Amino acid sequence: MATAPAVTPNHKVVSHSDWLAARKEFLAKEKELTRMRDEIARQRQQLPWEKVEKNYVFDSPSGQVTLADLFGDKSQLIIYHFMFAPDWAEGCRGCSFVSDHVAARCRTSPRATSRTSPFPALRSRSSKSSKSG
Amino acid sequence: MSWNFAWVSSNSTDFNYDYNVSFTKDQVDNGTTGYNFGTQRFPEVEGPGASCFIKDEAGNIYHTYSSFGRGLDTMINAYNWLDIVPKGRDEANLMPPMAWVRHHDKYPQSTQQATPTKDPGCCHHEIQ
Repeated sequence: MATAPAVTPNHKVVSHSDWLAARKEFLAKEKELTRMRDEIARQRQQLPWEKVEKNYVFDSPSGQVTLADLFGDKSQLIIYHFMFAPDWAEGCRGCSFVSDHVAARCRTSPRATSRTSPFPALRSRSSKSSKSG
Repeated sequence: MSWNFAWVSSNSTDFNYDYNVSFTKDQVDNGTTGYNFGTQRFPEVEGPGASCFIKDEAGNIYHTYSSFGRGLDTMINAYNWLDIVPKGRDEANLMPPMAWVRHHDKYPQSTQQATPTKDPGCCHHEIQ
């Protein structure tokens, strides 16, 4: 049977009533964060947009696709820029971890018609090696 | 991988340069990557980021938002769970902090904690 790792020694241990009092006091901070997060999200939606002037054409397993194509029948698009340079043996572990958290089913949810289509952009730079800073 | 989203390559475009997640070797060497809206250096030719777009009925496309570095934290829900346990993310003694992270198909099959890799990899989670 595996032994549980040691916990931090000398951590404060209190009665239930004191535990609850401390938790409720902290709850006020969490509520503040929740309300702040909602407000930040609202303000994010108010940020100005910039028009995309270039016609980006990407390579995909089914051929070339434009940025417009990536929207499919949706109006909104999220692109995750997955780190994978052409001279790397494999893509980034952290980006793999991010990808593990993409809720791909949101594309088929009832609300998807006006929401997002997640599309990571796989980077490879073989034709850009001569580009200067 | 059981991932259910589409992949495209920006190989033949300026896309990832324009959206500030790809850098030339010169930029990395000179410390002029300007990652995260010009606020940070990035030590690799590739950096993480997410970008959002909207398309109107006339077909015009607008860039609405991009986020980089720790701004991507909220997309990693495992961290939200870890933030509610006593030891939190438990990354203080790891360098880089995300050294415990593996590719999707390379985690050990058992529940034993993976040994942090000494390979610095490409993740620079210390970038705020």
